[in-house]
Amino acid sequence: MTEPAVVLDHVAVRFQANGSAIHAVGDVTISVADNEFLALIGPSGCGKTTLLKLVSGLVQPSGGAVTVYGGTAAQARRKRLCGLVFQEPALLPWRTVEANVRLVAEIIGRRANVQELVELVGLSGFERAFPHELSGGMQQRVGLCRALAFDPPILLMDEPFAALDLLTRETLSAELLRIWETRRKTVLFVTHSIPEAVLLADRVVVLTQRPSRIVDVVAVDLPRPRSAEVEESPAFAALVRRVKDLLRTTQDRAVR
Amino acid sequence: MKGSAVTTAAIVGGLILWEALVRLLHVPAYLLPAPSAIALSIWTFHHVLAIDAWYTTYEILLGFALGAGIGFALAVLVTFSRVLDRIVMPAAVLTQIVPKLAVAPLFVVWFGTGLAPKLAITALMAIFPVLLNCVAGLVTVDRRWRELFDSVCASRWQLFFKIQLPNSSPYVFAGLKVGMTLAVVGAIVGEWMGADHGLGNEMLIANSQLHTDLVFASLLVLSAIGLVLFGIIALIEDMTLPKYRRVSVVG
Ligand SMILES: Nc1ncnc2c1ncn2[C@@H]1O[C@H](COP(=O)(O)OP(=O)(O)OP(=O)(O)O)[C@@H](O)[C@H]1O
Ligand SMILES: [Mg+2]
Repeated sequence: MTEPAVVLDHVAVRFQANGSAIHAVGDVTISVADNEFLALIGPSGCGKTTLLKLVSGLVQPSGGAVTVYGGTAAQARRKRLCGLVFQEPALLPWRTVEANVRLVAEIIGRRANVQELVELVGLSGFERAFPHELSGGMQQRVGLCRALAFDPPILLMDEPFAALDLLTRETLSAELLRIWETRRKTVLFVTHSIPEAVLLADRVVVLTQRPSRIVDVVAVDLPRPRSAEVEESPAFAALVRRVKDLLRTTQDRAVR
Repeated sequence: MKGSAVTTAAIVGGLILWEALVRLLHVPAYLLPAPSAIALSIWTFHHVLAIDAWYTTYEILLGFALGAGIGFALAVLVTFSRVLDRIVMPAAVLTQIVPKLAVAPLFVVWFGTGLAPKLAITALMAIFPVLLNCVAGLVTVDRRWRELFDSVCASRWQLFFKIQLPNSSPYVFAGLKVGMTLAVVGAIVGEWMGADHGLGNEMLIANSQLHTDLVFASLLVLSAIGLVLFGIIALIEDMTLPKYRRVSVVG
């Protein structure tokens, strides 16, 4: 067995926000295998984004330990192991598609095969376009390319498709799957969509309300490569129901 | 097109009304000259006015360049150093509270009556809007851009050159525009403190001789200069900044 990509060991995070402490992450322990696609799902404000920031070294844990490929998150940051993809792609409006894709690679002095990436996500012909000339879905593709361009072993995706309409969302998740099959990466994928999580992930982590703990981890044993047809299968429906039920338990706890 | 036609009509109408009132009410020329008298004055004195305009434009441009340069440099320093931020910004606000026009006589004491005091006042007028706008542009960095840069350990310089500087350009232009209009005021006030040339100087002399038409003529030329200089900045902005990145200037 190879070394896991990411290990969160009894991690806790408390924020100090104008005097009062916010206990965002309660106690999370999970090991993410190399090249695994892990989906994180949980109520709003439960600390999903915070978990991604722990891995990328942008937030320090108040307790427990974060290990990324055997080192600390800070070391991983220096080795540029994590590519970030946000909900809104946050492209630089003064840069063309090409130049936006190149941005992070440029920062760390790595050459990027921009042309190949742009083709990979179906944006050929738009290399010279500016972000405001693109649709939301196209912008998100650029955001994904930007993260892929420096070829990091880990992709941290924070609700990357949440701002898109259903159809665009489906095309993009299909594309993401295709890309992930060809250039294997460890993906931590935050989403609020249960079907999306089940379609994409190897395992779905269900988190409780703040301070978050893991309710359960659902292994998705659907065959790969997966396509949209998988969603019609009874196994898929069962998994979706399973995750939904787990999510409901977090709601019940909140009501009480 | 329609809007500008209305504007033109209003201006022409206003001028006609002005001319008519001055003639009908026999307003003395030293109180309010008619537009035709002002036009005639520009024509008669065009030689003197041209030389004055040259001097004043020179002062405005030099003082503006100085002020804008200092303003931008201070803005960069402020964004790089918290300590400097605490020193420069209060100092800048303080110089704003002290009426700059009231400081003008001091400049004459310090810098004499040559070009120096005019440049000093002009630059002082231009610094503040440029500084404020540049600081605003340089510090407004999208949280996610910062995170993206932090996540790969980008250097402070990379953040500056790849994000802060390009991001600030609309703000910089906004600051330059306001700075330019204030620089015009600065140059005139500088000349009022004592000068041998320039439109401000011309206005003072004409005023003391009750040559009100020449005062108006100088004023008109000055406004034209201000408009053209402002227009040049707007033109450069137009050519360098895509439309969707404009920020509008208020005031
Ligand atoms: N830098 C910070 N300072 C203070 N509090 C913070 C900070 N970052 C996050 N929090 C708080 O921590 C909690 C978890 O935030 P986080 O963004 O991780 O939630 P999330 O699960 O991603 O939520 P959502 O689904 O709405 O995106 C929230 O209550 C948030 O207000
Ligand atoms: Mg979030």
